[in-house]
Amino acid sequence: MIVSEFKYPIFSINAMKKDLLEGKYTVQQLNDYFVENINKNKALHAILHINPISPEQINESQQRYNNKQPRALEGIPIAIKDNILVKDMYNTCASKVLEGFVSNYDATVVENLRKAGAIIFFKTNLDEFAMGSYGNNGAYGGAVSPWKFKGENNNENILAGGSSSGSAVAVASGMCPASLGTETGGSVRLPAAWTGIVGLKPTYGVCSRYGVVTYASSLDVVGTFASSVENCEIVWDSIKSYDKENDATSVPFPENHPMYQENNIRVAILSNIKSSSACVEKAFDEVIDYLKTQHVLVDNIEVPESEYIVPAYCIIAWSEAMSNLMRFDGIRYGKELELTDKSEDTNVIKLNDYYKKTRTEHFGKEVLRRLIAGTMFVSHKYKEIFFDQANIVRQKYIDFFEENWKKYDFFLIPTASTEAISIEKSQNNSKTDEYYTDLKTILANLTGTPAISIPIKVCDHQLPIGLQIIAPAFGEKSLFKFAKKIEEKFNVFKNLEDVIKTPSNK
Amino acid sequence: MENKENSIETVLELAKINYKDNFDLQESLHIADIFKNRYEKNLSMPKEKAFTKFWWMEKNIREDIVKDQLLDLTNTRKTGDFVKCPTQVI
Repeated sequence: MIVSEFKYPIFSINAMKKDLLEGKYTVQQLNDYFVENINKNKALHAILHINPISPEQINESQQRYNNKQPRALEGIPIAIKDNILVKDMYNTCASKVLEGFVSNYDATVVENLRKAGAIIFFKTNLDEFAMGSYGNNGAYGGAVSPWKFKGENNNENILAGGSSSGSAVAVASGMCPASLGTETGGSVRLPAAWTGIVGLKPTYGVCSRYGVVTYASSLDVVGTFASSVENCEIVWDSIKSYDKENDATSVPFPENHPMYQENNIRVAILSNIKSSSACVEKAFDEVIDYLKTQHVLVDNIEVPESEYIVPAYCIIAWSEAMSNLMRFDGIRYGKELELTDKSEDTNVIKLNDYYKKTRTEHFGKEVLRRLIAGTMFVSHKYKEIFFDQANIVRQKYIDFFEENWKKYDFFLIPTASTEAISIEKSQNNSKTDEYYTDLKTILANLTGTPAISIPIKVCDHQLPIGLQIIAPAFGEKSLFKFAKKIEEKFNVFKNLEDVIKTPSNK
Repeated sequence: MENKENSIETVLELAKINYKDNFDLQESLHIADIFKNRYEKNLSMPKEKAFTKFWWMEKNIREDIVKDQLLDLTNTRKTGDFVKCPTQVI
């Protein structure tokens, strides 16, 4: 079959559409190919739920190709993180509290994908309620990277990064050409960097959050994973929309948006946010050296009060999470508890005891940790010390960014401080170490700005390294254009089949 | 700034109301300590400088999202009620 000629892991959406238009293979054959890849890669635990592909949808897409009128994502399979609602599919957020919950409507981003002709048939693993940086905090086990895969349940396996671990692994292992994830502090860019693919965090409000289970309302965005910047752009363009009716934080994408001048590209390195890996620093420096040869202006700037990036983020995110997840009490939302422990006097369990039992039994440890801490951060007298101060620091970062957007088109920084680590190594890390994994990605969330991670090198340990490019608000198109230039020069997907071991090619 | 009754440890323990008993909060305390130190170093800024919304948004999202969510533990202990849950569709 001709589709088997695709080389792992690059799947060009435009090339596939061209092939389908020319009749080299059918929509059914294309989707069968990806289903085969899913079956080969089950050991990576990237998928939580899978639905049979609708024959009607396949036929409709094929008909559109036959009529030479395909839409942007006609017949292309796209995976969805399991905290984004898909009609008639399970939505667990990798939490026992939502076990068995089936959505009766599509999130706006999913509806937009369907309008673009995409085929949605599986949902991906994640950290419970998107809370985690390693991708292994889910109630149903973690997804692991296809890189240096050692076999199922092996502690030497490499973490995919979180929280959108399954969506990243699905693309990196060739189960689909693109997927959706969500970001609160770097949950798309970090796993993209650690699995060697492209990950986009759009401007806050550009992609609707309607139908996306909220973690932290002022930080959450829907992001895209893809094996190339071009694919990433196609998917982003399909999901963005002004969703005024459903999402109060939705905004239209303006016609006048930031775009750099070709002969006068100005970038700033956020130089005081250091990496702890020499490999990461070396790869980053190689990109900077290259940009200088291309007559790009490169300056160093220092983020003020950088020691508070992670604490400020944690305080804001956890405080908002505390409020958002309060509804999962087994009464308003969430799995009901079996009432076996009734009070002797009234034969009725006390409400607070019911809440406590529900949450204790159904929430994982990390979610509980964040909810309890978040409760404290906004509690009486402590709000002014923690929550208010964190928001003052957040505004300082926003002011710093806005001031520097007058001088620069992009900020550059490695996506992660280190290359991906093994499960074994992560078990020796403290929770604080895990929180600091997001150090380099958090600023784009706190400031609401768009950022992209692209793979730039495979390090000596045979693991990928990502470069992060941050742009001013609504600078996505500028970001794609600039990222493509770097991708063209530092394309790590050349001759990688010798390096990557997946269940499908090991 | 704080006495034994409202130390971080005590407030964090109180925050466990409606959550799990016997839960190790040391990691959460570490993040809290980093910020508490900042406060005690008198690096605080005027409250009106705090983030409320992004410049490209009409509505004050900070107000909308958070105003109904602030939790006074004292009141909670007295009444056993939760704060109002914001409208959200899942």
